[in-house]
Amino acid sequence: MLQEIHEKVEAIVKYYYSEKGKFTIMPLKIRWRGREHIITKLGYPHKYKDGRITMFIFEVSNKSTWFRLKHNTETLTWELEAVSDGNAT
Amino acid sequence: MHVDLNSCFATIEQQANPLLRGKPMGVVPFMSPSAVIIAPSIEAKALGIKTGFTLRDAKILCKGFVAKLADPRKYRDVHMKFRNIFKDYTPEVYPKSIDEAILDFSRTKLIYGNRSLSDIGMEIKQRMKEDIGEWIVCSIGISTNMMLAKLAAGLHKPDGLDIIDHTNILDVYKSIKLTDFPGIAERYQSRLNVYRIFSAMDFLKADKEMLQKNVFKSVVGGWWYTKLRGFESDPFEYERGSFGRQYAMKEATDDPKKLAAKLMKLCEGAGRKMRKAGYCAYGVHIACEYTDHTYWHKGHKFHTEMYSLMELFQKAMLMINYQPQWKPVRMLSVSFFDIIPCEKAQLTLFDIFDTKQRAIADVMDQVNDKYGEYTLIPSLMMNMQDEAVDRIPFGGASFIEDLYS
Repeated sequence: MLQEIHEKVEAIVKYYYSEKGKFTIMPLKIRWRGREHIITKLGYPHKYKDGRITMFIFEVSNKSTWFRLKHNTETLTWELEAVSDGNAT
Repeated sequence: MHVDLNSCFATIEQQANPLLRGKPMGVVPFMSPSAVIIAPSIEAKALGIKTGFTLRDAKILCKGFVAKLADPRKYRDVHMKFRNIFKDYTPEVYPKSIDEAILDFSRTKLIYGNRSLSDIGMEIKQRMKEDIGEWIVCSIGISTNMMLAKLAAGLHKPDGLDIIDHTNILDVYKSIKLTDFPGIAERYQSRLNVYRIFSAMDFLKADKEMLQKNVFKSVVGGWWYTKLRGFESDPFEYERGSFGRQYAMKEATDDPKKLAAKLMKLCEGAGRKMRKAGYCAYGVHIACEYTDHTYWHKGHKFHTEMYSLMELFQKAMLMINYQPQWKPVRMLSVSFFDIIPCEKAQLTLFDIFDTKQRAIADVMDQVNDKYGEYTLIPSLMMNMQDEAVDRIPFGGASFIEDLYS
Protein backbone atom coordinates (compact mmCIF):
# COMPACT_ATOMS: atom_id res chain seq x y z
CA MET A 1 0.00 0.00 0.00
CA LEU A 2 1.31 3.43 -0.92
CA GLN A 3 1.04 6.23 1.61
CA GLU A 4 1.70 9.88 0.88
CA ILE A 5 3.88 11.41 3.64
CA HIS A 6 5.43 14.78 2.60
CA GLU A 7 7.64 15.24 5.68
CA LYS A 8 11.17 16.58 5.95
CA VAL A 9 13.77 13.89 6.69
CA GLU A 10 17.50 13.75 7.40
CA ALA A 11 19.61 11.87 4.87
CA ILE A 12 23.12 10.47 4.45
CA VAL A 13 23.98 10.57 0.79
CA LYS A 14 26.87 9.18 -1.23
CA TYR A 15 28.08 10.99 -4.34
CA TYR A 16 30.33 8.75 -6.43
CA TYR A 17 31.40 7.53 -9.85
CA SER A 18 30.14 4.05 -10.66
CA GLU A 19 32.43 1.37 -12.10
CA LYS A 20 31.36 2.49 -15.57
CA GLY A 21 32.30 6.08 -14.80
CA LYS A 22 28.73 7.32 -14.40
CA PHE A 23 28.26 9.98 -11.71
CA THR A 24 25.69 8.69 -9.26
CA ILE A 25 23.94 10.06 -6.19
CA MET A 26 22.71 7.44 -3.73
CA PRO A 27 20.88 8.13 -0.48
CA LEU A 28 22.26 5.54 1.95
CA LYS A 29 20.23 6.18 5.06
CA ILE A 30 17.29 8.36 6.10
CA ARG A 31 16.01 9.33 9.52
CA TRP A 32 12.23 9.66 9.55
CA ARG A 33 10.17 10.22 12.74
CA GLY A 34 13.26 9.34 14.82
CA ARG A 35 13.81 5.99 13.10
CA GLU A 36 16.66 5.18 10.75
CA HIS A 37 16.02 3.37 7.48
CA ILE A 38 18.91 1.90 5.52
CA ILE A 39 18.52 2.09 1.75
CA THR A 40 19.92 -0.69 -0.36
CA LYS A 41 18.60 -0.07 -3.85
CA LEU A 42 18.30 2.91 -6.13
CA GLY A 43 15.23 2.38 -8.34
CA TYR A 44 14.88 5.24 -10.75
CA PRO A 45 16.30 8.70 -10.03
CA HIS A 46 15.02 11.59 -12.12
CA LYS A 47 14.57 15.32 -11.94
CA TYR A 48 12.06 18.00 -12.84
CA LYS A 49 11.75 21.76 -12.65
CA ASP A 50 9.36 23.43 -10.25
CA GLY A 51 9.60 26.92 -11.65
CA ARG A 52 13.31 27.74 -11.60
CA ILE A 53 14.12 25.17 -8.90
CA THR A 54 15.39 21.74 -9.91
CA MET A 55 13.98 18.92 -7.83
CA PHE A 56 15.57 15.48 -7.79
CA ILE A 57 13.35 12.49 -7.13
CA PHE A 58 14.98 9.35 -5.77
CA GLU A 59 12.82 6.26 -5.74
CA VAL A 60 14.75 3.94 -3.44
CA SER A 61 14.06 0.84 -1.41
CA ASN A 62 15.28 -1.77 1.03
CA LYS A 63 13.98 -5.32 1.43
CA SER A 64 10.59 -4.33 2.78
CA THR A 65 9.92 -0.68 2.04
CA TRP A 66 10.03 1.67 -0.92
CA PHE A 67 10.58 5.40 -0.41
CA ARG A 68 10.11 8.34 -2.75
CA LEU A 69 12.51 11.10 -1.68
CA LYS A 70 12.59 14.63 -3.06
CA HIS A 71 15.76 16.69 -2.94
CA ASN A 72 15.31 20.43 -3.36
CA THR A 73 18.47 21.78 -5.00
CA GLU A 74 17.82 25.32 -3.74
CA THR A 75 17.26 24.62 -0.05
CA LEU A 76 19.27 21.34 -0.14
CA THR A 77 16.55 19.70 1.94
CA TRP A 78 15.21 16.16 1.69
CA GLU A 79 11.53 15.35 1.82
CA LEU A 80 9.96 11.92 2.13
CA GLU A 81 7.08 12.09 -0.31
CA ALA A 82 5.69 8.57 -0.06
CA VAL A 83 6.32 5.07 1.27
CA SER A 84 5.02 1.72 0.10
CA ASP A 85 5.29 -1.95 0.98
CA GLY A 86 4.61 -2.88 -2.65
CA ASN A 87 1.35 -4.66 -1.87
CA ALA A 88 -2.21 -4.01 -2.96
CA THR A 89 -4.50 -1.89 -0.79
CA MET B 1 14.26 0.22 -36.70
CA HIS B 2 11.20 0.36 -34.48
CA VAL B 3 11.82 0.36 -30.72
CA ASP B 4 8.91 -0.22 -28.37
CA LEU B 5 9.19 -0.20 -24.58
CA ASN B 6 7.20 -3.19 -23.32
CA SER B 7 4.33 -2.32 -20.97
CA CYS B 8 6.03 1.05 -20.74
CA PHE B 9 4.51 2.81 -17.72
CA ALA B 10 4.17 -0.39 -15.68
CA THR B 11 7.76 -1.44 -16.42
CA ILE B 12 9.02 2.02 -15.41
CA GLU B 13 7.09 1.76 -12.12
CA GLN B 14 8.62 -1.68 -11.51
CA GLN B 15 12.04 -0.24 -12.27
CA ALA B 16 11.44 2.56 -9.75
CA ASN B 17 9.99 0.27 -7.10
CA PRO B 18 11.67 -3.17 -6.95
CA LEU B 19 8.96 -4.36 -4.54
CA LEU B 20 6.52 -4.29 -7.49
CA ARG B 21 8.69 -6.48 -9.71
CA GLY B 22 7.22 -9.83 -10.69
CA LYS B 23 3.80 -8.75 -9.43
CA PRO B 24 0.62 -8.20 -11.42
CA MET B 25 0.27 -4.42 -11.31
CA GLY B 26 -0.87 -1.59 -13.50
CA VAL B 27 -0.87 2.16 -13.88
CA VAL B 28 -4.11 4.13 -13.46
CA PRO B 29 -4.79 7.85 -14.05
CA PHE B 30 -6.66 8.19 -10.72
CA MET B 31 -7.45 5.92 -7.79
CA SER B 32 -11.00 4.72 -8.07
CA PRO B 33 -12.59 1.32 -8.77
CA SER B 34 -13.85 2.71 -12.07
CA ALA B 35 -10.39 3.97 -13.12
CA VAL B 36 -9.16 2.49 -16.38
CA ILE B 37 -5.84 0.66 -16.40
CA ILE B 38 -3.67 2.49 -18.89
CA ALA B 39 -0.71 0.11 -18.63
CA PRO B 40 -0.81 -3.38 -17.12
CA SER B 41 2.51 -5.05 -16.26
CA ILE B 42 3.75 -8.08 -18.20
CA GLU B 43 2.72 -10.26 -15.22
CA ALA B 44 -0.80 -8.75 -15.24
CA LYS B 45 -1.11 -9.32 -18.99
CA ALA B 46 -0.26 -12.99 -18.42
CA LEU B 47 -3.34 -13.17 -16.16
CA GLY B 48 -5.54 -11.72 -18.88
CA ILE B 49 -5.64 -8.14 -17.57
CA LYS B 50 -5.53 -5.81 -20.54
CA THR B 51 -5.25 -2.07 -21.17
CA GLY B 52 -8.71 -0.55 -20.78
CA PHE B 53 -9.85 -2.86 -17.97
CA THR B 54 -11.25 -1.06 -14.96
CA LEU B 55 -9.46 -1.44 -11.65
CA ARG B 56 -12.58 -3.19 -10.34
CA ASP B 57 -12.36 -5.85 -13.11
CA ALA B 58 -8.62 -6.32 -12.57
CA LYS B 59 -9.20 -6.95 -8.85
CA ILE B 60 -11.81 -9.58 -9.72
CA LEU B 61 -9.29 -11.39 -11.93
CA CYS B 62 -6.44 -10.98 -9.47
CA LYS B 63 -7.06 -10.02 -5.84
CA GLY B 64 -3.45 -8.96 -5.30
CA PHE B 65 -3.38 -6.61 -8.30
CA VAL B 66 -1.43 -3.47 -7.34
CA ALA B 67 -2.56 -0.18 -8.83
CA LYS B 68 -0.06 2.65 -9.14
CA LEU B 69 -1.00 6.23 -9.89
CA ALA B 70 0.51 7.51 -13.15
CA ASP B 71 3.61 9.70 -12.80
CA PRO B 72 3.92 11.58 -16.12
CA ARG B 73 7.12 13.39 -15.07
CA LYS B 74 8.92 10.09 -14.64
CA TYR B 75 7.66 8.73 -17.98
CA ARG B 76 8.81 11.89 -19.77
CA ASP B 77 12.21 11.55 -18.13
CA VAL B 78 12.50 7.95 -19.38
CA HIS B 79 11.37 9.05 -22.85
CA MET B 80 14.10 11.69 -22.95
CA LYS B 81 16.71 9.16 -21.81
CA PHE B 82 15.84 6.59 -24.43
CA ARG B 83 15.69 9.28 -27.07
CA ASN B 84 19.23 10.33 -26.10
CA ILE B 85 20.41 6.72 -26.44
CA PHE B 86 18.92 6.52 -29.95
CA LYS B 87 20.58 9.79 -30.95
CA ASP B 88 23.97 8.12 -30.40
CA TYR B 89 23.20 5.80 -33.32
CA THR B 90 21.37 8.00 -35.82
CA PRO B 91 20.32 11.65 -35.94
CA GLU B 92 17.06 10.58 -37.58
CA VAL B 93 14.95 9.61 -34.57
CA TYR B 94 11.18 9.95 -34.88
CA PRO B 95 9.23 9.40 -31.64
CA LYS B 96 5.85 7.86 -32.45
CA SER B 97 4.50 8.09 -28.91
CA ILE B 98 5.85 8.26 -25.35
CA ASP B 99 7.02 4.62 -25.51
CA GLU B 100 8.00 4.00 -29.11
CA ALA B 101 10.26 5.50 -31.71
CA ILE B 102 11.44 4.96 -35.25
CA LEU B 103 15.17 5.12 -35.96
CA ASP B 104 15.95 5.69 -39.62
CA PHE B 105 19.30 4.21 -40.61
CA SER B 106 18.82 4.49 -44.35
CA ARG B 107 21.11 7.54 -44.64
CA THR B 108 23.46 7.02 -41.72
CA LYS B 109 25.59 4.04 -42.70
CA LEU B 110 28.79 5.96 -41.94
CA ILE B 111 27.81 6.31 -38.28
CA TYR B 112 27.33 2.63 -37.59
CA GLY B 113 29.95 1.43 -40.06
CA ASN B 114 30.03 -2.23 -40.89
CA ARG B 115 27.97 -3.39 -37.93
CA SER B 116 24.65 -5.06 -38.59
CA LEU B 117 21.43 -3.43 -37.42
CA SER B 118 20.68 -6.44 -35.22
CA ASP B 119 24.02 -5.83 -33.41
CA ILE B 120 23.00 -2.21 -32.90
CA GLY B 121 19.58 -3.38 -31.70
CA MET B 122 21.20 -5.64 -29.10
CA GLU B 123 23.44 -2.78 -28.00
CA ILE B 124 20.45 -0.45 -27.63
CA LYS B 125 18.73 -3.05 -25.43
CA GLN B 126 21.86 -3.24 -23.27
CA ARG B 127 22.19 0.58 -23.08
CA MET B 128 18.54 0.84 -21.98
CA LYS B 129 19.33 -1.45 -19.06
CA GLU B 130 22.51 0.45 -18.15
CA ASP B 131 21.24 4.01 -18.60
CA ILE B 132 17.59 3.66 -17.53
CA GLY B 133 17.39 0.54 -15.40
CA GLU B 134 17.88 -3.19 -15.33
CA TRP B 135 14.13 -3.91 -15.42
CA ILE B 136 13.52 -2.01 -18.66
CA VAL B 137 12.82 -4.25 -21.63
CA CYS B 138 12.04 -3.28 -25.18
CA SER B 139 11.05 -5.00 -28.39
CA ILE B 140 12.93 -4.08 -31.52
CA GLY B 141 11.83 -4.60 -35.09
CA ILE B 142 14.03 -4.03 -38.11
CA SER B 143 12.80 -3.79 -41.67
CA THR B 144 12.76 -1.72 -44.80
CA ASN B 145 9.81 0.48 -43.85
CA MET B 146 8.09 1.77 -40.70
CA MET B 147 5.06 -0.49 -40.93
CA LEU B 148 7.10 -3.69 -41.30
CA ALA B 149 9.53 -2.59 -38.56
CA LYS B 150 6.58 -2.09 -36.17
CA LEU B 151 5.15 -5.45 -37.22
CA ALA B 152 8.56 -7.06 -36.55
CA ALA B 153 8.74 -5.41 -33.11
CA GLY B 154 5.41 -7.01 -32.23
CA LEU B 155 6.35 -10.56 -33.28
CA HIS B 156 8.03 -11.58 -30.04
CA LYS B 157 6.95 -9.54 -27.04
CA PRO B 158 8.44 -8.84 -24.56
CA ASP B 159 12.13 -8.28 -25.21
CA GLY B 160 12.15 -9.45 -28.84
CA LEU B 161 14.38 -8.51 -31.72
CA ASP B 162 13.11 -9.48 -35.16
CA ILE B 163 14.00 -8.66 -38.71
CA ILE B 164 11.62 -8.74 -41.64
CA ASP B 165 13.34 -8.69 -45.00
CA HIS B 166 13.02 -10.29 -48.43
CA THR B 167 14.08 -13.68 -47.05
CA ASN B 168 11.24 -14.09 -44.56
CA ILE B 169 8.52 -11.60 -45.46
CA LEU B 170 6.25 -14.24 -46.99
CA ASP B 171 6.69 -16.57 -44.00
CA VAL B 172 5.75 -13.70 -41.69
CA TYR B 173 2.66 -12.86 -43.78
CA LYS B 174 1.61 -16.52 -43.70
CA SER B 175 1.81 -16.57 -39.91
CA ILE B 176 -0.13 -13.39 -39.03
CA LYS B 177 -3.72 -12.18 -39.07
CA LEU B 178 -4.92 -9.04 -40.84
CA THR B 179 -5.37 -7.28 -37.50
CA ASP B 180 -1.69 -7.87 -36.69
CA PHE B 181 -0.83 -5.17 -39.23
CA PRO B 182 -0.37 -1.82 -37.47
CA GLY B 183 -3.34 0.35 -38.42
CA ILE B 184 -5.70 -2.51 -39.35
CA ALA B 185 -8.32 -2.94 -36.64
CA GLU B 186 -11.73 -4.65 -36.79
CA ARG B 187 -13.34 -1.96 -38.94
CA TYR B 188 -10.72 -2.10 -41.68
CA GLN B 189 -10.64 -5.89 -41.39
CA SER B 190 -14.35 -6.13 -42.18
CA ARG B 191 -13.89 -3.73 -45.08
CA LEU B 192 -11.09 -5.94 -46.42
CA ASN B 193 -13.25 -9.03 -45.88
CA VAL B 194 -15.97 -7.55 -48.08
CA TYR B 195 -13.46 -7.60 -50.96
CA ARG B 196 -12.45 -11.22 -50.21
CA ILE B 197 -9.26 -10.30 -48.42
CA PHE B 198 -9.14 -12.61 -45.42
CA SER B 199 -5.43 -13.07 -44.76
CA ALA B 200 -2.18 -11.16 -44.96
CA MET B 201 -1.31 -13.10 -48.12
CA ASP B 202 -4.63 -12.09 -49.72
CA PHE B 203 -3.82 -8.49 -48.77
CA LEU B 204 -0.40 -8.76 -50.44
CA LYS B 205 -1.90 -10.18 -53.62
CA ALA B 206 -4.68 -7.57 -53.79
CA ASP B 207 -4.76 -5.25 -56.77
CA LYS B 208 -3.55 -1.67 -56.17
CA GLU B 209 -6.51 -0.04 -57.90
CA MET B 210 -8.96 -2.14 -55.98
CA LEU B 211 -7.32 -1.19 -52.66
CA GLN B 212 -7.30 2.47 -53.61
CA LYS B 213 -10.74 2.80 -55.19
CA ASN B 214 -12.82 0.24 -53.33
CA VAL B 215 -11.33 -0.83 -50.02
CA PHE B 216 -9.75 2.31 -48.62
CA LYS B 217 -11.41 4.74 -51.05
CA SER B 218 -8.38 7.00 -50.93
CA VAL B 219 -4.67 7.23 -51.58
CA VAL B 220 -4.20 5.17 -48.39
CA GLY B 221 -4.95 2.03 -50.42
CA GLY B 222 -2.00 2.80 -52.66
CA TRP B 223 0.17 3.38 -49.61
CA TRP B 224 -0.76 -0.05 -48.26
CA TYR B 225 0.10 -1.65 -51.62
CA THR B 226 3.55 -0.04 -51.41
CA LYS B 227 4.10 -0.77 -47.71
CA LEU B 228 3.21 -4.45 -48.02
CA ARG B 229 6.03 -4.77 -50.55
CA GLY B 230 8.58 -3.27 -48.17
CA PHE B 231 8.77 0.26 -49.55
CA GLU B 232 8.17 3.42 -47.54
CA SER B 233 5.07 5.47 -48.17
CA ASP B 234 4.04 7.21 -44.92
CA PRO B 235 5.54 10.55 -43.95
CA PHE B 236 8.02 10.28 -41.05
CA GLU B 237 7.16 13.59 -39.45
CA TYR B 238 3.78 14.98 -38.56
CA GLU B 239 2.91 18.62 -38.50
CA ARG B 240 1.15 19.73 -35.39
CA GLY B 241 -2.41 20.89 -36.05
CA SER B 242 -3.84 21.60 -32.62
CA PHE B 243 -3.24 21.96 -28.89
CA GLY B 244 -5.67 20.40 -26.48
CA ARG B 245 -6.37 18.91 -23.10
CA GLN B 246 -8.87 16.44 -21.76
CA TYR B 247 -10.18 15.80 -18.28
CA ALA B 248 -12.03 12.79 -16.87
CA MET B 249 -14.18 14.08 -14.01
CA LYS B 250 -13.85 12.46 -10.63
CA GLU B 251 -17.50 13.36 -10.12
CA ALA B 252 -19.70 14.01 -13.11
CA THR B 253 -21.39 17.39 -13.02
CA ASP B 254 -23.82 19.49 -15.03
CA ASP B 255 -23.30 22.59 -12.88
CA PRO B 256 -22.33 25.37 -15.33
CA LYS B 257 -20.12 27.08 -12.71
CA LYS B 258 -18.14 23.91 -11.97
CA LEU B 259 -17.83 23.11 -15.65
CA ALA B 260 -16.64 26.65 -16.35
CA ALA B 261 -13.90 26.32 -13.75
CA LYS B 262 -12.76 22.98 -15.18
CA LEU B 263 -12.91 24.37 -18.70
CA MET B 264 -10.75 27.32 -17.67
CA LYS B 265 -8.14 24.98 -16.27
CA LEU B 266 -8.12 22.95 -19.48
CA CYS B 267 -7.85 26.17 -21.54
CA GLU B 268 -4.94 27.26 -19.35
CA GLY B 269 -3.15 23.91 -19.84
CA ALA B 270 -3.63 23.87 -23.60
CA GLY B 271 -2.97 27.62 -23.87
CA ARG B 272 0.32 27.38 -21.96
CA LYS B 273 1.50 24.66 -24.33
CA MET B 274 0.39 26.67 -27.34
CA ARG B 275 2.03 29.93 -26.22
CA LYS B 276 5.23 28.11 -25.27
CA ALA B 277 5.39 26.71 -28.79
CA GLY B 278 4.82 30.23 -30.18
CA TYR B 279 1.38 29.67 -31.73
CA CYS B 280 -2.04 31.23 -31.61
CA ALA B 281 -5.27 29.58 -32.80
CA TYR B 282 -8.35 30.54 -34.79
CA GLY B 283 -10.49 27.52 -33.97
CA VAL B 284 -11.84 25.98 -30.80
CA HIS B 285 -13.35 22.54 -30.36
CA ILE B 286 -15.22 21.32 -27.29
CA ALA B 287 -16.27 17.74 -26.60
CA CYS B 288 -18.35 16.36 -23.74
CA GLU B 289 -18.99 12.77 -22.81
CA TYR B 290 -22.02 12.41 -20.57
CA THR B 291 -22.83 9.91 -17.87
CA ASP B 292 -25.59 8.44 -20.07
CA HIS B 293 -22.81 7.49 -22.57
CA THR B 294 -23.92 10.07 -25.12
CA TYR B 295 -21.43 12.41 -26.72
CA TRP B 296 -21.62 15.98 -27.96
CA HIS B 297 -18.99 18.09 -29.63
CA LYS B 298 -18.74 21.36 -31.46
CA GLY B 299 -15.98 23.20 -33.21
CA HIS B 300 -15.87 26.67 -34.70
CA LYS B 301 -13.37 28.80 -36.50
CA PHE B 302 -13.30 32.49 -35.59
CA HIS B 303 -12.11 35.51 -37.56
CA THR B 304 -9.65 36.68 -34.93
CA GLU B 305 -6.89 34.63 -33.38
CA MET B 306 -6.85 33.54 -29.74
CA TYR B 307 -3.74 33.72 -27.59
CA SER B 308 -4.33 34.74 -23.98
CA LEU B 309 -6.20 32.61 -21.46
CA MET B 310 -9.18 34.97 -21.44
CA GLU B 311 -9.52 34.87 -25.24
CA LEU B 312 -9.30 31.07 -25.25
CA PHE B 313 -11.66 30.68 -22.33
CA GLN B 314 -14.31 33.09 -23.62
CA LYS B 315 -14.50 31.29 -26.96
CA ALA B 316 -14.54 27.89 -25.28
CA MET B 317 -17.42 29.04 -23.03
CA LEU B 318 -19.27 30.29 -26.08
CA MET B 319 -18.95 26.83 -27.58
CA ILE B 320 -19.98 24.87 -24.47
CA ASN B 321 -23.11 27.01 -24.21
CA TYR B 322 -24.24 25.53 -27.52
CA GLN B 323 -24.89 22.22 -25.76
CA PRO B 324 -28.47 21.21 -26.60
CA GLN B 325 -28.96 19.98 -23.04
CA TRP B 326 -26.92 20.38 -19.83
CA LYS B 327 -26.37 16.80 -18.72
CA PRO B 328 -23.78 15.47 -16.19
CA VAL B 329 -20.42 15.50 -17.96
CA ARG B 330 -17.90 12.78 -17.18
CA MET B 331 -15.25 13.70 -19.73
CA LEU B 332 -14.52 17.21 -20.96
CA SER B 333 -12.02 18.09 -23.62
CA VAL B 334 -10.97 21.25 -25.37
CA SER B 335 -8.65 21.76 -28.29
CA PHE B 336 -7.52 24.78 -30.25
CA PHE B 337 -7.01 24.21 -33.94
CA ASP B 338 -6.15 26.15 -37.07
CA ILE B 339 -2.95 27.29 -35.42
CA ILE B 340 -0.44 29.69 -36.88
CA PRO B 341 2.89 30.97 -35.58
CA CYS B 342 2.26 34.16 -33.56
CA GLU B 343 4.48 36.31 -35.75
CA LYS B 344 2.22 35.58 -38.73
CA ALA B 345 -0.97 36.54 -36.91
CA GLN B 346 -2.96 39.55 -38.10
CA LEU B 347 -2.11 42.66 -36.08
CA THR B 348 -5.01 44.46 -34.48
CA LEU B 349 -5.55 48.14 -35.32
CA PHE B 350 -7.88 49.26 -32.61
CA ASP B 351 -8.30 46.71 -29.85
CA ILE B 352 -5.78 47.80 -27.23
CA PHE B 353 -7.52 45.54 -24.68
CA ASP B 354 -6.47 42.38 -26.58
CA THR B 355 -2.89 43.56 -26.84
CA LYS B 356 -2.78 44.16 -23.09
CA GLN B 357 -4.37 40.78 -22.40
CA ARG B 358 -1.70 39.08 -24.47
CA ALA B 359 1.10 40.93 -22.74
CA ILE B 360 -0.39 39.89 -19.38
CA ALA B 361 -0.59 36.26 -20.58
CA ASP B 362 3.11 36.33 -21.47
CA VAL B 363 4.05 37.82 -18.10
CA MET B 364 1.89 35.28 -16.24
CA ASP B 365 3.60 32.47 -18.15
CA GLN B 366 7.01 33.88 -17.23
CA VAL B 367 6.06 34.09 -13.53
CA ASN B 368 4.74 30.52 -13.59
CA ASP B 369 7.87 29.32 -15.41
CA LYS B 370 10.03 30.87 -12.73
CA TYR B 371 8.08 30.12 -9.56
CA GLY B 372 6.20 26.96 -10.58
CA GLU B 373 2.82 26.15 -12.15
CA TYR B 374 -0.24 27.81 -10.64
CA THR B 375 1.75 30.49 -8.80
CA LEU B 376 -0.29 33.13 -10.64
CA ILE B 377 -3.79 32.11 -11.71
CA PRO B 378 -7.16 33.69 -12.49
CA SER B 379 -9.47 33.70 -9.45
CA LEU B 380 -11.84 31.21 -11.11
CA MET B 381 -9.06 28.63 -10.90
CA MET B 382 -8.36 29.05 -7.19
CA ASN B 383 -7.95 25.80 -5.21
CA MET B 384 -7.86 23.76 -8.41
CA GLN B 385 -4.18 22.73 -8.28
CA ASP B 386 -5.05 19.09 -7.74
CA GLU B 387 -7.68 18.90 -10.45
CA ALA B 388 -7.08 18.29 -14.15
CA VAL B 389 -3.60 17.10 -13.28
CA ASP B 390 -0.83 16.35 -15.71
CA ARG B 391 -1.60 13.46 -18.08
CA ILE B 392 0.29 11.55 -20.72
CA PRO B 393 -1.72 11.32 -23.93
CA PHE B 394 -1.68 8.12 -25.95
CA GLY B 395 -1.34 7.02 -29.46
CA GLY B 396 -0.33 10.17 -31.27
CA ALA B 397 2.89 11.77 -32.29
CA SER B 398 1.47 15.29 -32.27
CA PHE B 399 2.01 15.88 -28.55
CA ILE B 400 5.60 14.64 -28.59
CA GLU B 401 7.06 18.09 -29.13
CA ASP B 402 5.57 19.10 -25.76
CA LEU B 403 8.12 16.80 -24.16
CA TYR B 404 10.99 18.75 -25.59
CA SER B 405 9.77 22.25 -24.77
